[in-house]
Order: sequence, then structure tokens, then C-alpha cells
Amino acid sequence: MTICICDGTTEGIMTAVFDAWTIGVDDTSIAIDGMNNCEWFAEYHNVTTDNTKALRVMSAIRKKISWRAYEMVYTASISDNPERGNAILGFLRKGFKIGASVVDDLQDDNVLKVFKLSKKTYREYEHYREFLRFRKQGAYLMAKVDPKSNILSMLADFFADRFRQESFMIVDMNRSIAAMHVPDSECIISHVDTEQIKGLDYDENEEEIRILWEVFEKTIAIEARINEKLQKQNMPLIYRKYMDIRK
Amino acid sequence: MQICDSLSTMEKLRILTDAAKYDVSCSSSGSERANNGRGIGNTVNSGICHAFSADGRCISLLKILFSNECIYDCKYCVNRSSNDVVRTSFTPEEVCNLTMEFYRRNYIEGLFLSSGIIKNPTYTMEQIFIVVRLLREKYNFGGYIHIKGIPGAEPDVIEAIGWYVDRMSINLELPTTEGLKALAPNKTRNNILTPMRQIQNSITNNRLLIEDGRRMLGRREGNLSPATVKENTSLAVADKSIGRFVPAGQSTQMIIGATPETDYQLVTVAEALYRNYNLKRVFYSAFVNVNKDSDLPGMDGSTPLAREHRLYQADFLLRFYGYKAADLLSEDKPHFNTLVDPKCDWALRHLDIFPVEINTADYYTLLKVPGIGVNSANRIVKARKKANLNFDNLKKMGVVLKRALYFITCQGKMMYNTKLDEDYILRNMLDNRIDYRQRLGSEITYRQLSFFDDNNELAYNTITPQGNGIL
Repeated sequence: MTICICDGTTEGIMTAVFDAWTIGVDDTSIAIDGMNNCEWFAEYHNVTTDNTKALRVMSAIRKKISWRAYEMVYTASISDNPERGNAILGFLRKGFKIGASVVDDLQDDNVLKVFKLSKKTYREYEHYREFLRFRKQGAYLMAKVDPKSNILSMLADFFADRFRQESFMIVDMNRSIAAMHVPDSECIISHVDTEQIKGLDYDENEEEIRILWEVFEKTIAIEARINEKLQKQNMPLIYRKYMDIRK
Repeated sequence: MQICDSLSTMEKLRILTDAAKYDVSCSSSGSERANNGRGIGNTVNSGICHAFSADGRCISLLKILFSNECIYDCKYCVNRSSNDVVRTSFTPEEVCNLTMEFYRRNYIEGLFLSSGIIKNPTYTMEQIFIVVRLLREKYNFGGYIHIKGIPGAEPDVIEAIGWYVDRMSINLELPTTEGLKALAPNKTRNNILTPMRQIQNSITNNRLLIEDGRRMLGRREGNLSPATVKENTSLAVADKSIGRFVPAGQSTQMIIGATPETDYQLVTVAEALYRNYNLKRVFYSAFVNVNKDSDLPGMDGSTPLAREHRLYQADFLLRFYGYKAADLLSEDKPHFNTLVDPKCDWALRHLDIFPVEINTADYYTLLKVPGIGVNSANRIVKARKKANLNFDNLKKMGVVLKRALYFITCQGKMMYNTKLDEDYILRNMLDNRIDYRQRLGSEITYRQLSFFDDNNELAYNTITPQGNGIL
């Protein structure tokens, strides 16, 4: 029994898949660094993330299985579940054997797991796309998010198209990384110091716009239909931290 | 009627939002468009709900009136000419600035603009046209715009606006001619349905023209998804040179509870609208009595929210599940069941087609089972190609077994020993006190007695009718 330990990023997991294949997949499993207990009678193999190996695996998935399978594997790999490595390995083993129809075969445990992780990631991405708020900070717009999955690059991609002519920055407060964008270019993701970010102040006329929005939001509700429980269900409290709602 | 021009933007926003809130349609879906390269904004096919108001409804667009001055006197409307409220209007620049500032901060997907009727319908629509053109051309806004058409406006101005917006809708308000005559005498069925027909024809012509353009570029016929057009630049350029007329389609709204129509009449009208006018959505707005007019139902009736909920459920059944209005209701049964939703109600009245075998039934029969929706039915149909499914698989795929178990078999067997009897099933479905697995799983008809049953005493106690153990 060999256990490959990787660092949990998408490239890390793909490199681990590559390594597991060279070792022999029958008795290998993938664990995420820092999330496992030691096991008896198991050999440990540390996986050093190698981009070339990862790219080879990713293009093999796209060519030999399907684009949809690649989407599912990618979104499952950025989620936060510690079992995702193993589920992806099982999914890919089946996928390379039977081809594109693996995405429909929900009876298989690994396929179901990858499917559910992928759905979970998409739900979180869609929630953050809805609730993320930008604030004007000098010449650029800034937004903060605190997601459980690593969806920053998906968010950056979406807003890079929407605000193509604007400069903006989206900060992931949990992982201390940020996506930065200047007009008509690609996004860059880099590390930031969240303490510094917390200390920044917004422009003066931000307050005006916030008040205008509050007036709109409070007036649009129909008094005869007030339903706070439904509001909480649709806009859960965990997403409200960085929405800058005034007390 | 006081007309105030010197109000601040905030005061105008408060008044004109308050006047617009009874228009329930707020979706930003149906249109997929990438950034136009000059300005800000794109649209997403599924629409995005950026916030939720205190009544639980989603806030996806900046929903305002351009002006709450109105020459008509519709009895249900808070803006009617005989009400003494402060009247005001935005300037086009104010509307554009608000839209752009909110959009930049990701508060909204776009603008929803309606208006009271200033001078006459055509003049009002011309003012709205000025706003929309300013937003698209000077401010280079690429997000979602939804405009409310005013019944009775000239065809030219409706045609002109349609090229700039994503969705245009005209409210039917009341489903019957008598209802309209009683509550909104200035709006006739004719001047509501004529512009709807015009928009429908223009949309169809536009789609055919685009299809022709794509075919000339050598693409095969058939539905090209919006995402494919987004990626393929030559297609996108060709589409842009033709332009899109109201790409997200039409919708409309009906008021529930202001007039004595039955649910059956409402559902039949909705079905006819979907079929004859190619609408994307029909919205139902539960009547909120703001005017306390003598012609309107009195305050003893509270806002008919449950009825509105049932109508929305029936609406989804018509659009996605293949039901017809005559299946759900009829002249003898003109109102919905308050205890169960329309799909369950239909299933209970048609127990002859159940139980349905999961591994062999076709897609539309699977859709008729309560607890199996469009997503679950799709997954079942795809997954059963490899191997037969059992109840455990179904549960993991998202089927609501709590409701479906009375109606389905897996490989010939039902999940528990249940009867195909209307009262029995209804009683069990509405019983929320005990979990269904305990309640049904313990309905045993016999048990083998044994001398060594000392660790099964609890089960033993349920054998005798009185519930006490024999030993």
C-alpha cells in the first residue's frame, strides 16, 4: 500500500496522479499534506509538484475522456474535502478505461464523490459571484472574499471579462492571495499581506453610494410579505461578512 | 397632485423604488453576452441574484420607475392619478449614473425600468428610449436591461427600444376582459396584446435572420449554445452586425386575488400565453391592497401568498414537466388543493399508472413521480444504461424518496410494504411526526418467536395489540 502525499493544489493532485500511475495504481492512494494520520504498513511517497507532469495529465483527461470530465476533476480538486485526492484517482482510473460516459455513471462511489464535490464548488463560486462587493479604493476597485474552496481564479476569470476596462483586485482573506487586473489584460494571482489589506480605508463618496443602495434595498421590500427566514435561507449569514452591510 | 423637481437623488430613489416594487419580475436571465470591448458589463444566461430583500425576493436589477406621474386611474395601483402622492421623475443622467455606480460595485446585474404614463403612452416610451440609448451608447453599458412596455404605445418606438434591451415585457394585469374593464378601464386587452404580438414577431424574424447569417458562414443548423457563439469570434461578429432584438424574450404579469377568477381560468390563460405568444415567463403577483377602494376585495382577505405559490408550482409543471392545464384543473375542480402541491395531487388522482419501474420507464413518465424532478430524471436515465439502479443509488442521486417511495419500484420491488391507496398515501405523506423509515419499516406482519430474544425486547413489545410483552 503506497500513499502519495501532495500539497493539495490542483497541480499537486495531478502530479500525484501521474506518480501513482508510474508506481502502479492498484494499491495507491492520494492524501493531502497535513490532513492525515499515519497508517501502519504503508509506504509514504512525497510528491513534489511538477507542472509538466500536471499538464500532461490534464491534457490526457481532455483528450481521452472529455471536457466535462476535466471540468469536474478541476472543480473537485479545488474544493476543501480531504478525500478529494482518492476520489479523483478512482474517477480517472474508471474514466481512462471507459471514456466519456464516466460522467453519467453515478452508481460508482468515486464518480458520485467527484460529482458532489464539483457541485459544491460551483455552488460556492456562484454564491460568491452574487455576494462579492467592490469598493472604490483610489484608482481601482477592491473586493474581499473568504471562501472555503479555492475559487479565486474562477472569480477572477469572470470579472476580468465583465470589467474588462477596469482595474480591480479580489482578495481571498483565508489564503492571503489576491487576483489583480488592469484594463485589457490577464489577471495575476499573487500573495498579499491581509493585515495591510484590513488597514486600508475607502474613498469618501463610498459612503454615499452605500446609503443610496440601502435606501433602495429597504424600500423594495413589500411589507405584507416580510419573511426574514426566507431571506436568511437565500442569503446565508456566512456570506455576509465582507458584504459591507452597515449596522 | 404635487410634482417635485427639486428633490435629491436619494429622495427620488426612495419614492420611485417604492412605486415600482409591486412589479414582481426581476430575473436577469435569458441572455448570454460577452463584454463588448468598449465598456463595462456582460450577461450570464442563468442570471445572478445579488441580494435578497426582507420579503425574501431576489434583487437582481435596479428596479425603478422613470416617473410616477400617471394619467390613468387603475384601481389597484399605488400611482393612480386620484392618489395624492408626491410625484417626481428622474433625469436620464441620474438613472444612468445610478446604474453604472451600482453595477461597478456588483450590486446589480442591470436595470429594470418602468414608468407611469406621462402625457400619453408613446411620449412615455420615447423618454424611456432616450434613457436606454444613453446607457448603451454613451456609457457603454453591456449588462442586462429590462424595459416595461406601456400598452397603447406606437409600434415604431417599441421596435426602436427592442434593439437596445435584453427583455421587454408588457403586463397583462388581469386575465379576463371583465376584470380589466372593472379595475383598469384605460388598458384594453387589445392594446396590451397587440404590442406583445409585435414583439413576438420581431423576435422570431431576428432569430431567423441570425440563423441564416450563421449558415452562410458554413455552420451546421441546430442550436448553437450562447457559449459557443461567445468563443467563436466570426460568429459573434456576424451576429453583432445583424444585432439582437430582445434576446431574453418576453414575460408578463398577472395580479392574483383582486378579481374573482378561479385558478383554472388563470392557468388556462397562462398556458395560452406560453403557446401563442412564446413568452419566457408568466409572473403572478399576490394582490396587496394599498388603495382600499370599494371595488377591490376587502381587508378580511390577507395577501393570497399560498395561492400564488401553487400557481408558480403549476407554472413550472406546464413549462418543464409536460403537463397541460386540463390535466391539473377543470371546471369541476377549479381551485388547487391546499394540502398538497399540484403534481402530488395529479398523481393521487391517477394511481392507475403507478407504480413506475425506475429501470425501464421513459423520461416523461419518470417526471410524473412526486419526488423526481428534472435533474433526477436526467440522472436516472443516464445512469441506468450501465447497470440497474436500486433505492440506495436513487437516494444518492437526489431523488426525494420520502415522497417517491409510494410510486416507484426498483427491479420489481417496492421500497416498503405500502398500498396504492389515495387516503393511505396522503396520510403518510403529511405525517411529519415520525421518520418514514421507522414508520413504514416496522410495519411487519409476523415475527418468529425465539427463547433467546433478550436483546430484542423493544421490538417484542410491539407485537401484541396492547403493546405489552407476553413474557
